[in-house]
Amino acid sequence: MKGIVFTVLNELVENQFGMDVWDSLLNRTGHDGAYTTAASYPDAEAMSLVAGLSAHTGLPVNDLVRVFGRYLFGAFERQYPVFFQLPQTAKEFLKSVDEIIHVEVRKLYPDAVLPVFEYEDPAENRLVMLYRSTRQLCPLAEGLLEGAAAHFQTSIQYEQTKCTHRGDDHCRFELLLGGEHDNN
Amino acid sequence: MTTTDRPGTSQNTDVLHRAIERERKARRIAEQLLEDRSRELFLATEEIQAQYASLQQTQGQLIHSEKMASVGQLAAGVAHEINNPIGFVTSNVQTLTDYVEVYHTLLKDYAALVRAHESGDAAQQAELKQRITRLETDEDISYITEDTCELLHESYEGLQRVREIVQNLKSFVHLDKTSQQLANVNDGIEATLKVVWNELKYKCDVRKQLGDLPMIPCFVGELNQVFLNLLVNAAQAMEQHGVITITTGVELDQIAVRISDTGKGISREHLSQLFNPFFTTKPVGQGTGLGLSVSYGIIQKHGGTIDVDSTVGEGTTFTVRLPIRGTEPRREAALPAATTACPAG
Repeated sequence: MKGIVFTVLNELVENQFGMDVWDSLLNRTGHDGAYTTAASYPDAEAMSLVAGLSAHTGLPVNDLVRVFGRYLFGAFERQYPVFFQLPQTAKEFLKSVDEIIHVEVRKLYPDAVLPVFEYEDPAENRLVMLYRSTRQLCPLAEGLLEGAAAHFQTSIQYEQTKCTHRGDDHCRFELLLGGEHDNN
Repeated sequence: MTTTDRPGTSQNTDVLHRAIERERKARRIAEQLLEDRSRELFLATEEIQAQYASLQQTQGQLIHSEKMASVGQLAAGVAHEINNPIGFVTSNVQTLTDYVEVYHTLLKDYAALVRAHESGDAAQQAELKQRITRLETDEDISYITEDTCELLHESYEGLQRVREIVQNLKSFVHLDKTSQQLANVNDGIEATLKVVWNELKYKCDVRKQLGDLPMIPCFVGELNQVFLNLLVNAAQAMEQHGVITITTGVELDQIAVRISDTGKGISREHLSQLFNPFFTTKPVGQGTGLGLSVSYGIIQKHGGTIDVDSTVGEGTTFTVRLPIRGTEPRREAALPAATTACPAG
């Protein structure tokens, strides 16, 4: 998993729960915690940190992952402003993830393991996103969608009609986008 | 105050926090720089790859144009070789047509004589006999009969020569051989000599010292192109009548082919550029400057080497060495870089 996931998790925990919580999380999980965005770390390392945080806070893992997704969107926005500078709607942005953003990510990190998104576009205010990832992190996708809604100052209601956790071969998010304001 | 604070003033904690923040900021800047550089590197690599692809395409076109130039040169030689027999066969056929005309007239008179003989017309017989004798004398029928045999024989020889030229050309080019074949390099040299003979025969004597060679896996047509190139260059290097010596033999695990001429030789400064693409000392329009660089590529593709040894005023020897056990052919035979010195230069 890319280092940015770890640096942003570090930031989130320290800001929301305090430096001592992050420190004891590292102590308990046995990770050294010296993360940089330039490197990659094992997926299991992120999972054990989130599990530790869940144990510490009593919050369910999926809720934490969703909150983290929302927070991660903000971090992307700060770190990669170039993807947010174009005048575009939330829908246009979401559709650019697979074909533009992930293509750019691969230029910098050819070894990155990225989720694959496919799209269906049934109506102007609707979008269907098919999410495929070996990591099965659909709560993270949910958090990122919420982050996008906040950024574009719009509402994104979604229904997950398929999920790999329920035996489907992909996750299907049916989105209803509404009340968006131009982000120009 | 968090639980990790050590005893001390809150001022100390603030200082520590600010220090941590500075470190984090420095890390983010460093990471950002790293990503920027990675992106630049990616774009630069992309550009280099595009340029490399376009260079490869240009190189392919150049090699093709050199091949076409060789084909043009060959075609001119072959046209001359074929023209000569075609010329005399055509003239023979014209003469034979005249002879057939004479035979036709004679046959008609003979038939009339037979009819006069059967009808017992003595006067008619006498007139026809006189006419036949006059015609045989005037046209010199014994010469025509003799010459007809000669002309037919000569025409047959001429057509055989044309057939041989076409066969030689086919065995030289090996058009149908796009993969490696087991072949004897001596046969390739013989085939090439036949094709290039027209270029050589008035300029030099050719001495062959062809040793016993094992068969080696090779692209026969491409090797022949190298020999053609070396032989034509050798002939062109000799301003007066000279000698080309072709020697072949086995040296260790290689086959060595030496083509020597008694020409004007190559100066030291030219030697180092000899295999460079576009290098030529020939006047504009007469040499592409690609012959030797393409030859170099072909020999490299065979896992061999091509060396040159030259003394100004005495002559030049090119030595081609090919591994006996062959080599996995490389897909692209690269032109030597412009800065590469020739191996023996």
